[in-house]
Amino acid sequence: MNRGSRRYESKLAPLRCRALGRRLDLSAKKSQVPVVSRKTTALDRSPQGLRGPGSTVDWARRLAAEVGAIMEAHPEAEPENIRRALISLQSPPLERLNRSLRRGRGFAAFRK
Amino acid sequence: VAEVLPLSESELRLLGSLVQHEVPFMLVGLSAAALQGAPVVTEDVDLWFENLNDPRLIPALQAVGAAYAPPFGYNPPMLAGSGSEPFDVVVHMSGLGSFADEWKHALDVSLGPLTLKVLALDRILASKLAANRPKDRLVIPVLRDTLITLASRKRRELDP
Repeated sequence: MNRGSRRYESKLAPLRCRALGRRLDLSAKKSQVPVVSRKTTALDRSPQGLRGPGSTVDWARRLAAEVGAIMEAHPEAEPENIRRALISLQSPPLERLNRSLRRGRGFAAFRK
Repeated sequence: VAEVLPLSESELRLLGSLVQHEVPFMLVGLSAAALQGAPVVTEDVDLWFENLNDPRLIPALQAVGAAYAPPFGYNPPMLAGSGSEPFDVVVHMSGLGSFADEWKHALDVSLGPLTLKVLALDRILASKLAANRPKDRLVIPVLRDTLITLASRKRRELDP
């Protein structure tokens, strides 16, 4: 159903709303978004690096598979903890500590 | 919103000075857990010293403009001065052996240019289980799951 081309005609709506609906033209109009930017936001034109081997999607798939494998062996574990630990292990120790402190101090700032 | 800074250069310098002066200490608590990959947050870095009367401690702190403040009133033993802000002094760990016993199993972890002794994650979990304060109980599942993750990774490395 093309919802954009239909005027607002609900009989349940109060009279004032129906009058407003009649004044508003909700039919489809020509998009004001420039052609270039519409092209870049289309799903079939993903930014480079999002798909393919070694890409973001590939990384996310491998992460999900690893979480799945661990959860299969340890159903008592919390998948969120496993996922976050795996992500944390991808960065060097100093970065892990910095992230932990940054977030901890951030929470402390909210508490004050 | 003010920027929340991570471990600063002066803080790293303080740790470096302790290492350089061969003061026996190790990182413990949640900062040590974070270093080993636990997705936890913390406000401070706990340093467990073998002996606060160690003659090498004062020169190590003085070299970077810091100082040791002995316990007084409600104040526990503390570090003060340049680069000391995030560090808490620990003299006893619940549920663990002596410093010397734990030192034998401590890990060497690279922290930028430094290599520090860090209490192993299973021992951090043991101390949290023993302390059993409300804040400890919150992180116990996270530490357990991180240990599971590390063990699983190790198994996969040995048997890919």
